[in-house]
Amino acid sequence: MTITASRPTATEKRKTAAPAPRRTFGKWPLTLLLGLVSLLTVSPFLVMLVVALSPAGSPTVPAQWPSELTFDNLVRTLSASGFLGWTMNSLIYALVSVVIILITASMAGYAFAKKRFPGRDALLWAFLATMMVPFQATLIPTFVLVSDLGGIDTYWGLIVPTLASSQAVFLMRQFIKDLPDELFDAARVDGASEWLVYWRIVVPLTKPILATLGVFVFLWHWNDFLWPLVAAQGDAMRTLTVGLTTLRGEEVPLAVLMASATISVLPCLLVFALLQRYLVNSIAMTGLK
Amino acid sequence: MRKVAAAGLAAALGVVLAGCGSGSDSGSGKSTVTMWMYPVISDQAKSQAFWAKVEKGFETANPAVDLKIDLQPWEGRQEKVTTALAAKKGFDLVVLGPDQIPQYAQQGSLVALDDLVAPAKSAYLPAALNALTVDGKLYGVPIYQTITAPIYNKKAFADAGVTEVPGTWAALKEAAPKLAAKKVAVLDYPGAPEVSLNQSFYPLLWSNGGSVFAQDGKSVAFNGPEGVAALQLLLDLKAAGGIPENAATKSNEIEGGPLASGKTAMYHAATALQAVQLGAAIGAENVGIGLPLEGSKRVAFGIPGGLVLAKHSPQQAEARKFAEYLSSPEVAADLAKESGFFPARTDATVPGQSPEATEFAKSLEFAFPGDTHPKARQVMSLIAPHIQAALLGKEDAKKALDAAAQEANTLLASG
Amino acid sequence: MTGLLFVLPMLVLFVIFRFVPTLGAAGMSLTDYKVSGEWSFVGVDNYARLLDDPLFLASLRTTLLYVAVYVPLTMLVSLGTALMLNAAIYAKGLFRGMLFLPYVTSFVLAGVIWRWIYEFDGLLNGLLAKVDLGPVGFLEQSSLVLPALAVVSVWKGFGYSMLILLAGLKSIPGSYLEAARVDGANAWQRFRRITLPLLRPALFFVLIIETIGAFQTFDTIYVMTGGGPARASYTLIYGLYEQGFKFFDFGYAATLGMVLFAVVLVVSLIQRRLLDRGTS
Repeated sequence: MTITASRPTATEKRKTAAPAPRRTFGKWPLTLLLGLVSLLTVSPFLVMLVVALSPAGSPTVPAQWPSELTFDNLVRTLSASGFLGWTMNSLIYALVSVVIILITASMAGYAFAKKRFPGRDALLWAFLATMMVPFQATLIPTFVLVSDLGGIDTYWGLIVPTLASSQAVFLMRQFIKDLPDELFDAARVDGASEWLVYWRIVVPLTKPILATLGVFVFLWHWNDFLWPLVAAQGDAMRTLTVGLTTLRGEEVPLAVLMASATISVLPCLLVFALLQRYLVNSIAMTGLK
Repeated sequence: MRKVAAAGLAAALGVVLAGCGSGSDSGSGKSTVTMWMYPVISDQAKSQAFWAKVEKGFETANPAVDLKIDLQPWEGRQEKVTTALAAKKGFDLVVLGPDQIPQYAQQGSLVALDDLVAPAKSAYLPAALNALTVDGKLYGVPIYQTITAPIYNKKAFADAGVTEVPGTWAALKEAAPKLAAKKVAVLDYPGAPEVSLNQSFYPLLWSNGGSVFAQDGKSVAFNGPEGVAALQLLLDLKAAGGIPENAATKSNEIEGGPLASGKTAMYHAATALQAVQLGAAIGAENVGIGLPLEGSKRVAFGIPGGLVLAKHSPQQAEARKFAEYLSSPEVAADLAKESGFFPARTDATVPGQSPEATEFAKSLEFAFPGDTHPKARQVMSLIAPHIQAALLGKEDAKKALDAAAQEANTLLASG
Repeated sequence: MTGLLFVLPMLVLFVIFRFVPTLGAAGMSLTDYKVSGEWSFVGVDNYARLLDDPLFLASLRTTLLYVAVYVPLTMLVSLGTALMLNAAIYAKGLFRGMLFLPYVTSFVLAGVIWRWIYEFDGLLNGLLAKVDLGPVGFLEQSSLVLPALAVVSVWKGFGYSMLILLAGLKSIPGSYLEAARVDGANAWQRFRRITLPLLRPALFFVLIIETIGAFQTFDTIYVMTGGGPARASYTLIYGLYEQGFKFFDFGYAATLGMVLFAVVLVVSLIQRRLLDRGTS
């Protein structure tokens, strides 16, 4: 898809800086309406939390407000077999993917942006083209391939097939392309090796975009479902999303299900709270998904 | 310079590999046997305790074997087992039902285990052994036997002026309007896609003399007059307010379900555990347990759990040893006690059997493991949506089953 | 040449896990590949089978219907919230954060929560019962299940599109709108004549990604309906999953994958063309 990296120039910023006075839509009705819509949007999380904190099996929302709130369900969830294992798997799946994608994508992005080598444009085009192929369309052959390589029920089988990300490469390329060539030339004149140039110049200068990319890759893997569903067969290899769907079929009270859901969403909320700025800015800027 | 880049690449891949050790037993000198077990004991804590005990018991007797018992959920069982067998990964031993074994046996993924039960063959329930046999070879060692039977909310019937809980189709139909007048649906029919038809539609089909597959297994027979009448029974009940409004999509969970809250009055294919759960909700004294619902005959869904051995397992001898251990009368009796199921052998006596279990045991003589066919599960997933359609009033009974039969026959013909 | 070395790790990953499976999908669709690994070449049999498969044709219809419900709904919600955020004065950051929140969670989580919200004894019906309405079988009625699923996906995903549109709105110079106001244009005229045309590139971008995303919806269907009731939410992807991992007909499932690929390709090419025309 298109990645349009247009950053507002200083003059543009100035133009938009002074908002025109608004008379047509009263500010209080608007704030009220927006607040209502925002509240409605987060309300499913709020009811999830209330049910998770209600004593299991007792009447709760919407019939009535729970008579007492308790952490029992959260404790029960955390001590249940499997749950911590699923959480670990999700963490490994997400964090290892973040590290490898950041390294490989920034290396590739740097080469595509600033270096000449035979077949560069053809390769870039080929990377672009794979973006048109939905992952689901290649689900079956990917499964067969990983299974033939003995990768089902292993961490590498879970992780490695998800690492080839065109979006990540393009994002890095777009960003590095805008860095001035003089920086690299100066370093080379000083006799720095290519590896050093990458390590000393590319990596530090791309920190903000690496942070953004890292957040996206983390969320994408933490929330991923279809591939972990087929790649992890034993309970020991399940991720949290897959584990959550198995709870539904077992004899799990609603309160415990919601407690599990609550815990599963905490890392996302944490990432969101800490890095919202990066997320929001990068979406506005690049349209990365 | 290249060296540095290469080192970088190696480091990157190293992270992958280091993070990705497949957890194989490196250098302990023990051979590992992995068994996939399901929530046969539905209470999670009890289940964990029991299987830990089994593991320890076996490992003490066989110190050279590292036994791993992997507790899997029922959900997605078929998919997981098939993919694991295809990938030659995951387990050495797994517990399967009789409807699942034929397809794997025909694929050549399983090992015949006749010799394993041979010494005590007469001790096993003949029905259990038959159900796990494919083309004359036994592929599963029966480690337990299940049975389903109707459970009733006796109070709901009494409140509606029905003195005797219905044990036949006719009585069921007669009771429906009386309970409906009290806003109670007589039959808690679960039509959700995740509920096996073995616990919803099939018992009705069988009790009416119908069967899912034709004798030769090359076509389906569920759309015969017996099947149509069975589905029509549900539609008649629906018209009389005799099944819940959301029957097409409701599950058969007791806790938090309409049966527990008194909105429905009976479930025709319950397990002993569900009877206990219902007792916890409405008081054990209000729970009735009957014999299988009678149409033209009485049939109850009940299957042996068959422990099967994967051909790809590198630890054949050790796995067999464990299968022997798990099917021994002592361990089988323990398992029966914890699970509320029944031992598959007559020489195992279950200590302190619960009153519910004793009632359910009366239905064992009507046990039927379902139509065993390599494509039984697939056919089931083709029928279920059409039963939903009928319950939603989109198709009539005949049309729904004919449409399902056409899809199923296409599937069977494709080989 | 060092450039190639830098690309190499990603290139290896791409060749093995993107190019090979893509070619593999095309190849497998011409075979009767079984889960056991046995296969033989069957030519275009799988494609011929598609045309005779009522399940496939129904799933295609269901998918299109879902896209037709989802895309306008999500466009409307993201545009509406973006406009409100753009005009808001107080607590903008807070509201933006709240509206964006569902986007950082998973479709599985959304499915788990909303399944309960929609259930007979769930949240919505509980609220309806308080005003003596219902119960409504949101996931029980064939006619309601696709809109119900679409609402869940909109809730989970609109934050992303909203932010893109918000950025688009912010890049519209305030002086244009002010000039129009001075000329006596009312709010609707300003929106229709200035905001909307200038927002067009962002709108098209959102339209494309949302449409492609809609064709790929799987998680919520898996969690909430299992393709039901009576296959009313049995989409192309759900069929692919069922053929592959329930019926283990890998050859046929790969064929369905090719269909998905073709559909997504055609849709994005059409939209791309419209986009080019729209911006030039």
